[in-house]
Amino acid sequence: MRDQLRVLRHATAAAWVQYSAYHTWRTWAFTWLSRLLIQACFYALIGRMLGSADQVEFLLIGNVVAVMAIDATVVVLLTVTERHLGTLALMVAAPASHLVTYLGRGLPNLASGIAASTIAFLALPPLFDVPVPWPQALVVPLMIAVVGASCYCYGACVASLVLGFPSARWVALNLSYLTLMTFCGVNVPISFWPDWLGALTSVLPMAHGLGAIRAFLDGGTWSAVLGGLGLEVCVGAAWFAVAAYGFRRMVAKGRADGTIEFGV
Amino acid sequence: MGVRVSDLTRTYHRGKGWRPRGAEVTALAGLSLEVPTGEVHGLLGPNGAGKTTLCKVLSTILLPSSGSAAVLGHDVVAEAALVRPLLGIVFGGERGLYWKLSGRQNLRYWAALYKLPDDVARRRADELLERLGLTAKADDLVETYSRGMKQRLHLARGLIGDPKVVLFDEPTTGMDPVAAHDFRGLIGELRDEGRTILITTHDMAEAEEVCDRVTLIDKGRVLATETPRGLARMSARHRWVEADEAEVDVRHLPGVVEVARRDGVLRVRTDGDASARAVLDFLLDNGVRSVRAAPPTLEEVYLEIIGSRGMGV
Repeated sequence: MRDQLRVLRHATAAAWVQYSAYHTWRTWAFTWLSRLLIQACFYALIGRMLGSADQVEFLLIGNVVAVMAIDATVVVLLTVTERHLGTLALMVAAPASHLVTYLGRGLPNLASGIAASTIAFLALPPLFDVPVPWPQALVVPLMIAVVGASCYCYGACVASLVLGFPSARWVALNLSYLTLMTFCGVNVPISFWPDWLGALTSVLPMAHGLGAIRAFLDGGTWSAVLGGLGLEVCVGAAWFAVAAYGFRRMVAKGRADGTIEFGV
Repeated sequence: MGVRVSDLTRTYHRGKGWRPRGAEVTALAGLSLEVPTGEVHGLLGPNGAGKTTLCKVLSTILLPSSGSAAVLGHDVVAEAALVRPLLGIVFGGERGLYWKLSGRQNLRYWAALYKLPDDVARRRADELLERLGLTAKADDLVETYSRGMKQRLHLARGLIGDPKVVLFDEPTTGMDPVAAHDFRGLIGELRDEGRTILITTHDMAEAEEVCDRVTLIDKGRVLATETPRGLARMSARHRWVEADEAEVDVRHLPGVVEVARRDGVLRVRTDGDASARAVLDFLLDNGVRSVRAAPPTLEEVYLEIIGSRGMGV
């Protein structure tokens, strides 16, 4: 376990250095963060166009949380990068678990997403006159982090599949993110969907966690809020298990069919 | 035994996708090989001979179709988890490194993957950076490294886990002559440390200089395993004659296949013992006093045994 944590720490630290090579805090704030804030504002403005304060609140809160999912699912791209760098074979041949390594590689992006959503949550509601129960609402970033971790596990699962089909990585990233945006109660209430589709969303990340955040902001009971977050944790754990199986399966397949190459 | 390979076969299908269904290709066809602990062993053969496939099987990233392979007594399939900490892998080219990390950060990261405690990892990374002449650039991003420096960092990465067996797959690709010379020195040091080394290479001079024994592979099979000198003796078809400062023309003599001059040395390839004797006599009759029968170089043996296949694949 200590070895695994050390690997996770080093993988995360290495990923952070690489992330820092592409982003300074200025480029992060003025390009990436502003892009995410504008996206959340765009949907909130649609609510304002519809002339409904409830719609504004629904769309703003939904998108404030959802923008985090873009970063959380970027792990889909990062794992394929190992193949392009020629490090996949070395990772597989190393004594440490490649699953832990993979998980560490995307954590800076997850942190970026959680930070972006938190800033959006702090900055945007006043602009759109959306009421927030301060100071109790200070726990919302923690809830966003729970949803982020769940989305990250979901992204890792997609990444494990894409590892065998590197050319599909961008399609997979966009599909996985848009699936959450579309079906998990971000812009359209889950109750809008047919029962069978609503049932399917219950196994997707974000659906329960976002519901819990909405319940909290609407003054819902703690049992409803914690129940939703608990379900979100369970969904995340399930995706993690599938991701772990998926990575093992893809590496086993690569060892069998010879698609793990030295330096390619 | 450092490495033991028994009747190893590996086939695969050409093509891409989830289930490639192209023609079946045999990369290894019942290959057997034994490399004693502490030996530097060269694998020579044309492209597609199966050298890299063998290295991939030994490094546990490829499963054999049949047969077995073991590293220090551990089966690479059934005991892959025991084999991995014993192995270091170095391949040529520029891939296999994180370009946005420094050399030191790369090594510390790989040390973690080899489960080295932090203090050991720090010390070992510093030692290897020093040993491979990278200390001055240790904290620069790898993307700023020259090709040769990246290759030296590859070597350091392959040694970070203090492996007992090191697999080198075309290790000097991209190295300048000085770096390649230093690399050969490093191989000698690794041998002195008791490590078993398996090198695939196209560089015959390198193989001749650093390898205790070499194995010629073609079409997934072993053609011969010998010391470089022993392999030279197997060259049955041609005999060689060398002469210093010989300004005579021997091309007209019967049985002379090839004449070359390098660094003042005349080197004559003949088609057999009788022709070689005739050349020797001719040279002595013409006043050349420094004359000798010479063994073929490893490159000449390679070309004789493998022929022109190397260009055909």
